[in-house]
Amino acid sequence: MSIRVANVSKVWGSFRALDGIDLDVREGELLALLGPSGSGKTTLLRIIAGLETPTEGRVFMHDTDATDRHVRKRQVGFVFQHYAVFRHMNVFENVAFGLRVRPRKTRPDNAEIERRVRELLELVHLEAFAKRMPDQLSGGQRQRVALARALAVEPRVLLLDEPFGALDARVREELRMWLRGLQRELGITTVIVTHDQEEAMDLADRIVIMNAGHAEQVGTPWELWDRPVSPFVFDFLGHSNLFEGVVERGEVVLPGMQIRTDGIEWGSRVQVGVRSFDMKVWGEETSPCVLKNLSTFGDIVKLLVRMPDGKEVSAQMSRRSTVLIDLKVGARVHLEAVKSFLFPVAMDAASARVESEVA
Amino acid sequence: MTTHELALGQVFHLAGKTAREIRRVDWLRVGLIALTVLVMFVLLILPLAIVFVTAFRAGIGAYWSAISHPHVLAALKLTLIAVCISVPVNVLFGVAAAWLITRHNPPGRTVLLSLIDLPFTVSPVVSGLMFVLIFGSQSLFGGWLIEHGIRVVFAVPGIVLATVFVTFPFVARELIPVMEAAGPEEELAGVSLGAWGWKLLRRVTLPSVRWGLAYGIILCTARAIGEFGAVSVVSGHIRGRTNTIPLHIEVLFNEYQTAAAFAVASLLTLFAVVTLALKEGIVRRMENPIEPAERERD
Repeated sequence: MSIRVANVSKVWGSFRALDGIDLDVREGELLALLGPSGSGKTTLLRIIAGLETPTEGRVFMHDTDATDRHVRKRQVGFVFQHYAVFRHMNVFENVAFGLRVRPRKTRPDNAEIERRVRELLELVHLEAFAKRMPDQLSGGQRQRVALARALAVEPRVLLLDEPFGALDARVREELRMWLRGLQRELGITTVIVTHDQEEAMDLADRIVIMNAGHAEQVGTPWELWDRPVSPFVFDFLGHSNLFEGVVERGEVVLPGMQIRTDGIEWGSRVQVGVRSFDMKVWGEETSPCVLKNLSTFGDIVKLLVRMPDGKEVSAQMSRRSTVLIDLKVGARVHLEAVKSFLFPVAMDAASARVESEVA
Repeated sequence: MTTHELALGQVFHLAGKTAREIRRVDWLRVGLIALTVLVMFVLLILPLAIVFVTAFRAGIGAYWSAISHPHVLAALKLTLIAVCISVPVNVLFGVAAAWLITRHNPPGRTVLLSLIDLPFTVSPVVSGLMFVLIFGSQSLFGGWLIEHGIRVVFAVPGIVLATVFVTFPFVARELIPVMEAAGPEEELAGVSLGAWGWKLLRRVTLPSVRWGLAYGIILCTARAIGEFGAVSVVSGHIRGRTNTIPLHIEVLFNEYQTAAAFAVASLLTLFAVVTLALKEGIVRRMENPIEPAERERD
């Protein structure tokens, strides 16, 4: 089912949690709402679910106005961050709940309920746990129960509020891939809220970057990565450094560092974004920049460099890089950005974005 | 003496000192435990024993005739009526109040909470007097009721009202923190799965707070049975008609029928012990909410 959010705002007292959001969720896609806490992403999800009513604006589901429709009539499956599994019911009864509470006319008989629940438990790989109580399950298992329970009522939309937020990193990654596969298999329109950019990048067909109650940018993971419309989007996707300077002769020059800006020769003040992968580092005795830290993760070496003004810059390189031979903590280093993103200062970021790339 | 030996000597010296200190602490511990046991014995066990010893002093036959006296049976019946009305009323009110306060964040929440606590803070005697003033023959309302043949004060309705009032906070007060801690998410999940109203209450809300509710009901029942002050003021002490068990015990005691008074008192004491045992069981369930299946596996 497609969802359209039209000019939705939510105001609590003097706080505008959502400020005129317009959004389309396409049939069958997996859309991620990504943003820092307080950006309004959960509020938006709850408004789509009907757990919250918008102060202004409408929500359309399948082209019909659903703004005033009660949660239980919206045909949405909602999965909470802290599972919200019914603690006094075993796994089977949890999953069966949505079927058992149906009015008598539409309620399936016991054999049918049994069959459907078994099927769902198989889908979430919990067949052997039907008789277990929730407090005998791990966090990941509980979240899978919550998911099976939400799917039992055959919702037309699946809404997930930071579903993996309370799990440890490895389980999170595992469940993420599994959810992606399941969603493709079922073809169910899904909206997931997350503050983890990696999770969003991994999972989503499209991502909405939320910032202070509005949608900063909407696009596929690659679109956001390659063409961020604002310093906020660029910074939020991670592995980023942001600087401010003036473009002169096709470069922004800062002490101990140069950033090429092909495409712009002379300009006003700009914000420049450089990803840590795009930062070249080499030893240079006369540079004012100092290598402050060096850490290894697998094949990647992460470097932290302190600029003369005290700002810290992150860079990454392969462990096989020969440059590393000279690099010791405390060494003087020079920095050069091979690719940068320019954002004009105090101008409409979206219309005046310039990107430069130097091979 | 080399440095090494010196160091060793110091270690031994320290060790000896610690051992002495431990011995001294031991005496302190024994002393404190003895004191606690003594206080418990004098203040709790001894009185409890005296109740039963005095009750049975005149023999089983006397005990039996004391507790099967028509006035005692009438008092027992009245107490049961008061309990059977006040407990369900307060369960209904308590669940509604806890639900309103924890799930709907009503304006004036703090005022509401204080109001629920009011019966705790007001002396029971004052509560009783309050009902006498409202429903007594001197008041306009009470006068009107009496004219129409409805007696509240010095009759069963007054006793029930006073009991309901005094036991008012127990269920709500137990449920509010439990529901607060459980959070609204399970209920929201229930709603999103299509349950609402009565179905949601019966299948999600009540089961998730069942031990808190049971605890509240037990406290409420215990207080309803034992309530003396407020009931005493509104009862009028008409033997066989408006005396509850605690009131009847006082009457017997004042008439120097010590054995009979204690025989009836032993009924209340017995109930108190049962309550305590039930309460312990429930508290254990609340603190350690592992289901039986898990326990079997251990």
